[in-house]
Amino acid sequence: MPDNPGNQKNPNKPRSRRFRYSDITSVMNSIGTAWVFVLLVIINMDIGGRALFNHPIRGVPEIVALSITACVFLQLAHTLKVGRLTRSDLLLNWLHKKHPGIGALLQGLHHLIGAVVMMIMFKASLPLFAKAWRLDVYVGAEGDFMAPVWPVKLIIIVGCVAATIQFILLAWNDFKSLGGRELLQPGSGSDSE
Amino acid sequence: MSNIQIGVLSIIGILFLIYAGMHVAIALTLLSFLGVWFIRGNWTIASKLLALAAADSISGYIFGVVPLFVLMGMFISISGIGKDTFDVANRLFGRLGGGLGIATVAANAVFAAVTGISIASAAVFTKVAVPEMMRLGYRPRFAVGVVTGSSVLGMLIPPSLLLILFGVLTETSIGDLFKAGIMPGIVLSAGFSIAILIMAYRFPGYVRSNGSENRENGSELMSPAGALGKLIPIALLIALVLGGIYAGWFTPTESGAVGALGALVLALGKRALSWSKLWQVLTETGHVTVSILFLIISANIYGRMLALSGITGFVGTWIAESGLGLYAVLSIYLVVVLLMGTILDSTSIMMIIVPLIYPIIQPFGVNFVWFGLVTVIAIEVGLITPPLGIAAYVVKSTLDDQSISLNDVFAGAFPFVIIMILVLALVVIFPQISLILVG
Repeated sequence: MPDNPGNQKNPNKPRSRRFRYSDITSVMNSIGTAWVFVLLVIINMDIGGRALFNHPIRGVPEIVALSITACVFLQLAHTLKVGRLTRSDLLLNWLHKKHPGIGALLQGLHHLIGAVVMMIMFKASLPLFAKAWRLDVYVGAEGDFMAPVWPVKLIIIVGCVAATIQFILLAWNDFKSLGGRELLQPGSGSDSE
Repeated sequence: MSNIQIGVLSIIGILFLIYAGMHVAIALTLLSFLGVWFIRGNWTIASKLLALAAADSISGYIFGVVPLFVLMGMFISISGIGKDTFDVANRLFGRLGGGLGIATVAANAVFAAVTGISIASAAVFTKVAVPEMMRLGYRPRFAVGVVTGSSVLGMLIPPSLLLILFGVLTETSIGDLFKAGIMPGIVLSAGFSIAILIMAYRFPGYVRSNGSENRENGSELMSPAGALGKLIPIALLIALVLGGIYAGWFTPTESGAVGALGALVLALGKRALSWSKLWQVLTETGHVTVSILFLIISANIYGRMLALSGITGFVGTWIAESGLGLYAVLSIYLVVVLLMGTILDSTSIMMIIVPLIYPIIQPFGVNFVWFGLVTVIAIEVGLITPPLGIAAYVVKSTLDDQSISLNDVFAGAFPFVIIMILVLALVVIFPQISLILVG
């Protein structure tokens, strides 16, 4: 899905391209955000139904289990972009202050490696999706509650692609700051546009 | 190269890359991937491991606890309940020497029973307690030190994110871990309070500047009824969440959902929540959740790499042959954790060390609930020790008064580091402290 920022050969408008990409990650992030609230509601409905009417809601544990993975992959790229993915920035902060060039280079390398790792995860996840799709894999019990597995596998794939692109964009920014006039780029790598 | 050597090199590489500033999850995933690739000599197997970890390792009902308890903590943070608790504690302890310090510890302990992350406590009480202490002539270093030190209670007293992580990594009951966290939390709070009393009476110059007035009553004295009114909502929430787990009404995931709903109602009741604020809180929750759960995915890959390399088995036999007893192994382990705490954040330490130590410590037949508590306390020391102490960073960045330096924060927190290590020793020597409430 988010493969569309294809106009990379257009150096005049890097900005509009970036805005469009961040729109995609924002939408994905929002879906994940709303989803957590839905989980909050349905788990409480399940408890309430059980306690008050002796009638739990079918499939809530299964839905929660599937949803958590989906939410994480929906929000991964955005979390990365706003700089909230866990890392120790002790050395990087010091480098950014003392040797901004080396700092940007190192950070760019980290981001490139991140892109490679996410790409490997993406490629390896493809067959899992294909299998879930072809064989119509379900969770839950026959005749009770059943939910297909493939949407979550699809979201994993999409999330991996989105994170890969985000990593590449971050690396691109790092390397750009290397060559550009502004060598001193304070803060962590995520550009706050 | 033997498999064990590959495993060891991977671990060293992970530590190196994390220190170099690579995202922790990426470093863990990358080197575990490379490790498996070299051990099995097969790219497909190694990459399949990544895909399986992504698809399966966080796909479980229990992982719902993470977003739900984070959400609960966020609602509590914005609802102004931290300030209320501090006011009440202030009324209780304000007259003692160093009373505001003790009030901060007490308020933190109560606050910790409804939040699972220390950064939340650190941020809230920097805003609430530090200005009040400064106003009454407390030394800045003492004020920020108390807030930083007592913020660790947030991740010790249940609900606690670190306890949840330990439970997930070792398949220990999270409900039991929560129950076991209560007493050590109380002991640690008492230890902090005693330390503050000693400082206030033995070294008054460290606590307050000379000549500052001695009355600690704020401008308005709260009536007992008012105090009770402020305490009741949070007491109800604690009773609901911890009581629900304790009585067995709820699974941890359910108690997270109930707690988050309760906290939402509280925030609404205090008119602290607008639509945009709600969205902001949900977004923030998402980011914290992703950073933790993505780490769990990578820790899963790392754990399989460790298993394949045979490194834990190797260390295990080596320890068995060397005749080291449990306490010797435990001491080495705790020192390593404390050292890692100075340069790594708490979740990362948990992810790296626990899969490594778990199979090694298992033959000793220890109670893993107790072991979890010991691990969490040791890891938490790292929150407030330099050079990387997340809680201290949060306090510093939340401070309005920029004349207080990061050094002041670390120096001020140092007495509390000593208390933590003493309490850690107590919990190690007397497992009953943690296990007494576990059925």
